[in-house]
Amino acid sequence: MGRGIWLIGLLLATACSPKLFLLPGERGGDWEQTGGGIEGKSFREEELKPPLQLLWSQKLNGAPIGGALLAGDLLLQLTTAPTLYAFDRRSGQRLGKQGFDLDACAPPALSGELLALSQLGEEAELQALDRGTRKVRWRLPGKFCAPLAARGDTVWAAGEDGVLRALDASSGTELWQMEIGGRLRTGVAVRGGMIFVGSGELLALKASSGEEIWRRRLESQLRTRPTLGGGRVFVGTAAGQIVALEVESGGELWRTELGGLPAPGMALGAQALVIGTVDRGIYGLDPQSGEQLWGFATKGVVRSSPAVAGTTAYCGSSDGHLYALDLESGKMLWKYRLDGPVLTPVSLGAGAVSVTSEKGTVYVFGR
Amino acid sequence: MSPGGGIWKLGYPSRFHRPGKVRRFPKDTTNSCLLPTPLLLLFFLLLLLISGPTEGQFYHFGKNKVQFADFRWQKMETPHFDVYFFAEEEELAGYAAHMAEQGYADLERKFGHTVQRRIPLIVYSSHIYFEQTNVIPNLLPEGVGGFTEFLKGRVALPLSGSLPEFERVLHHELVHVFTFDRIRQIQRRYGVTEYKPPPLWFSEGLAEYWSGEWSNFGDMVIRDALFARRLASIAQMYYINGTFQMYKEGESICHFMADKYGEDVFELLFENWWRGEDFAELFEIVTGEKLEELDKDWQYHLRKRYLPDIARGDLPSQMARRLTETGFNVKPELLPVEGDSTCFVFFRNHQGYTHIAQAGLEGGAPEVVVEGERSPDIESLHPLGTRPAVSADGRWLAFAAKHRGRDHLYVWDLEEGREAKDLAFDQVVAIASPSWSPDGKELVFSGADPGGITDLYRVEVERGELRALTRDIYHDRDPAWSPDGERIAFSSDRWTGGREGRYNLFLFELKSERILTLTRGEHDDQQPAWSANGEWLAFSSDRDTMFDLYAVRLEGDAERGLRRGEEKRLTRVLTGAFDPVWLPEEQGLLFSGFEEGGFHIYRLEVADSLLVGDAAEGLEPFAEEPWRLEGLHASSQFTRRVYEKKMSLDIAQSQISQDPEFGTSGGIQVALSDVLGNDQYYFVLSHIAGSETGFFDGMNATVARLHQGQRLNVLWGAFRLNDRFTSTFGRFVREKRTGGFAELSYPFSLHDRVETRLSLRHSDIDRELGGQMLKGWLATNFLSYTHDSSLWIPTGPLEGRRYSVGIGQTIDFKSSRRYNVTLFGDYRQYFRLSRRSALAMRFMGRQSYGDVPEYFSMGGSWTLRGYPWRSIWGRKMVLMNQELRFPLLDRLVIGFPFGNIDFQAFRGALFVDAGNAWNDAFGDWNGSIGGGTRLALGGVFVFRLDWARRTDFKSVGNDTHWDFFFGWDF
Repeated sequence: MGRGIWLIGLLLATACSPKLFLLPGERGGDWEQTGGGIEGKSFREEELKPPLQLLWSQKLNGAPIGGALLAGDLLLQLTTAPTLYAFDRRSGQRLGKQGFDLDACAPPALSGELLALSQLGEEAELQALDRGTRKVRWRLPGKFCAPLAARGDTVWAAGEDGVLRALDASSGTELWQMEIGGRLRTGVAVRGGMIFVGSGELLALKASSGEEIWRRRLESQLRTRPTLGGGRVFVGTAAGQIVALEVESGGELWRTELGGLPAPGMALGAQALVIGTVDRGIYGLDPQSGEQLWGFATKGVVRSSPAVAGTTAYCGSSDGHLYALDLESGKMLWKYRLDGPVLTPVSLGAGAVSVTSEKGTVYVFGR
Repeated sequence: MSPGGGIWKLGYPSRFHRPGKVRRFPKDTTNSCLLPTPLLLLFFLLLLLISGPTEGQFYHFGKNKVQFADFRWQKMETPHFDVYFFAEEEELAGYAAHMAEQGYADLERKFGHTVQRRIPLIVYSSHIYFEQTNVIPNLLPEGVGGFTEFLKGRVALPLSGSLPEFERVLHHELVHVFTFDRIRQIQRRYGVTEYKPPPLWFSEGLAEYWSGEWSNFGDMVIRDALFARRLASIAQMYYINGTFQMYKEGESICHFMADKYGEDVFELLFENWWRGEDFAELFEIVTGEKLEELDKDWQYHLRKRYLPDIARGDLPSQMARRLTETGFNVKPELLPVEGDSTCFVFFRNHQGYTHIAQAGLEGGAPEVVVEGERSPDIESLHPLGTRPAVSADGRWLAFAAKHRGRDHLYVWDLEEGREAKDLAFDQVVAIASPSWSPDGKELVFSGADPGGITDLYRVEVERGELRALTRDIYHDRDPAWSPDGERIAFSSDRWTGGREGRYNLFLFELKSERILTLTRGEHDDQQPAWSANGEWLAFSSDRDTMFDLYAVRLEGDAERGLRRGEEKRLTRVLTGAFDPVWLPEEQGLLFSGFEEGGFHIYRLEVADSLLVGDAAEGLEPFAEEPWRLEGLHASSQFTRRVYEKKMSLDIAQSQISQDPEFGTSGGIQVALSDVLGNDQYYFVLSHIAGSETGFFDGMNATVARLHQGQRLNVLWGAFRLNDRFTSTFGRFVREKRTGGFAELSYPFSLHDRVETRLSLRHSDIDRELGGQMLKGWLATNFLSYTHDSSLWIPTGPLEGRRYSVGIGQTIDFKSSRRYNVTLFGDYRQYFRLSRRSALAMRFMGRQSYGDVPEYFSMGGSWTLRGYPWRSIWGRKMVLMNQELRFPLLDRLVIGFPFGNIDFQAFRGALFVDAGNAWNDAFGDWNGSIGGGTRLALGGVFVFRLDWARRTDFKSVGNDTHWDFFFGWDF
């Protein structure tokens, strides 16, 4: 009798389990990752002019880990619960959720049927899960708390052990590894055949082999993910400096000092490189010269990485607002009061901006 | 909590004075204010008050936090702070508001974190007022320069004379606010419920590191620790926990971490705080290195940096003759006695209490001149912040001492050995460093007004007429009256470098009332001392990175005015030399020197050839307003309002317990208070679900309100209790009580108070007496007088005295029938035998008369050891305990597979107890002898284990009896 009840309970539990990984559509596409795409520039050409409308908001269990991942009609948000939530991006309908036993420390990446997720714990590892079967396709032991970079068949994972690894996405086979040194916290950016990564130094490597192309000492630790655009790579340092280097040679083009530690990611639009810092400011720099074009003061530290849609920059702040700023002038065009501070990146999707507050509410705005 | 920002006082730069939560001065001198978890203790006391016949019903010990001042509180609202201040300190509040906002902006950047709440900031214009705060119930020693408490996130701090130093201490406290808030935020974010505090060396070290530049005092402490081989590694930091050395070592480690890993290493530590099980693991996660590696590298770095200094300097004992051997000795002042019997007086703290002592230049044991800190007359001598002064004829000794909520200026007759004059001033709250006029009729001193502004004052001793010599925001200290009577040398921050907390020397010309600049530079010049002929002025200065003694020649005439010569360096110490005093005919100096973590008095010989040179340089008049603070006027943008009490939650907790005898019980305790802690509410609700009681019948409830915003503390409340307890002769009885109570407590001083308590209750006891059930309306009142001047170590008192005597009665309210009258007395004396050992004695007697007398019990660890708990009963009792207390182990770490358990402060005891309780005939004494151990459990409880053998004082029994108890020694 007891055994029967146990089996019924098990069946019920199975029947009630979320179906996150059985979602229609969005299969077979390229990788989607939070933190500004493979080039780390958090930019969409498509204009999304404010004022925006709140399309929907949903309360989650836990605070967000990274920004929301917008992939077609799907919105994924990992939380500290740790739970991965899936929503219909347009309606806000919750499609499912998946809990995990171990702490997560980095946002997930999604490609077709593969979901890559980093977990901590005594046996910390990077897991690639099959969305359809929920089985682990492959594992890579280690702590990977920087956002993953993935393109096509390759995943680049920067570990806290200071080693950058290139993996075959389908099997997890290591293609190459490179000892970078230090603690790799900021993730990598990839453009063409080059990959950029660093801690105390910024390195340019061949994406195919990991062979070093150049390295540049930064004088203090790298604190932003490299941002690529216009033949340049932009990085922010622990000293509050933004440095622009030539992609090909690593030659320093300019260096600008801001008022404090930068947010983990920058956004690069046509007119400005946008950075948030802990001195409550959001700044726009001329990507060519590094000259400060504008600065906008919020009322809390800015640890949320901004995003640029066309000519509008969106950025969250610890003061609990999502701001929309004119990319050229820095003038505030619109703001929205959220239910708590924002510390994670703003995400852009087709016609949508998403931000998740520290209170665990995911917001999606559009026109 | 912050280091003692300093005693507004003078003398040792306040930066020296930052030893943490409690200044360990001397290291083992603590007091009852350190009893932990005060809120829980208040609950405990509340229960005692309304409970059955217990000791706590009669009296309880502890020192008093006396509300001498009547503060009229106001509130100023800035973008991030609610600044609470009283009317007299409005100017200070304006400065504090701006400093707080600037500090907030700086720390927001450093932490990368915005505090999502308003921060209550309570400012006091002097440490004397600060000591009266009710924000926390603990007594605040003078070494505490400010604190942050975490129930309501309040910051409280006093102005200690120097506004730049006030700003530094405020910044230090705000680092604690951000640290706490950031850790809570990141832990909450990742669902970590248990708060993982940083190790004290790290939290205080970081607070020091981020609140100011590394100081020469830091160098002094670290260099001394290295040369004396007293440097504590990170692994050994427990050994210096809470001391000034720990603050400076922690600060030094943080500097080293920033250099090695980058300034953002701290931000990364906090960002990852949720990940590590302990600090060592967290450190490894963030840096990739083990904490042991940091420890090793840091120590190597220190040796490389400091050990070469020995080539250019000496320890005080290597360059001068040490005149004191034990204790803590500072601020020498020469007694002008002729011949070889020249003596000096100084502050001395030998075994806990500071006094003024006298010793000869040729050595010999110091003699006590003025006893201090044992009586309310001289509650504190402020040994680090002020100095005594002897008149030119050697007859009069002047010193400042705290007495009933303000500093008094005492004049002591050295010939008669008694107090000759007691001066106190309405316009001066704190007094420091008096100096006699040459004719012995006047004194000049540094004094702080009720608003906290410190200036120089001149007082005519006989009539007590007071006149301010300076009147501005600058910190004027260390006045020294010249032998010709024409000018006063003093140290002040009234120059451009003063904004950074640096002091130079100035001269106040008494005739013209002009201020002349004597020294100038980015250094700290202090404690000027005139030679007898007035030609030389010695002083202490850190102009060459270490605090050394210097002298400057002064000459003046009507034609050319006052001129100065070159500064002559008198010492090259590795640590620090302070408080210079000239010996007769400039043959040398006395000074206070720092070595091996303590201060002693030294005699320095000065070669004649050194004190030569002309005084050619004219002195410049002091330039007005070298620096300003954004303050009162600019603060007009902030909203101000009269303080309104709003109660908010301090603690709310609940628990359920199951006991096979007493059944299931559960309850909640809630405490509320206003932001100043002056008014507090306590609610205790519990339920005993036994087979004998119904739901409502088993309900217990107590509500109480405590007013402590004025000198007379008032506690009142109501209760409904249904208790089952062991009553007379060990039987279980149940008593239902419903009623109210009120207690008035009037403290005379820190040590003495009178208390009266009235309880009116309906009592229903399930026991018969003379064929009648014990039921009725009872009124009980007590009157007691309590004294407590004990000094504590973690396991209990070590020195001083405590006693309480009183009388109480219980009457049947309806019939006016007197149930009983009870007399009680308890006397405890502690004789310190060495730094950490003592002989403790207790004599206790009680007697109760009447129709329904109280019965007293003894037996067990707390009373008569070797006898079962409450095994001896009677209406009369007498008890005597003699106990030798001594240290056993300072630390014991026991390793387990799951981690280490760390025990600190193992102490031992040998005792002899004797006592009896009886009704009519005394009978025989019950005695015991034995020994025991005490173990401090994290400052919360003390675990005591005693073994004893009984004795009738003719022979000793063969059976060994064990007692254990959680509680402090008597």
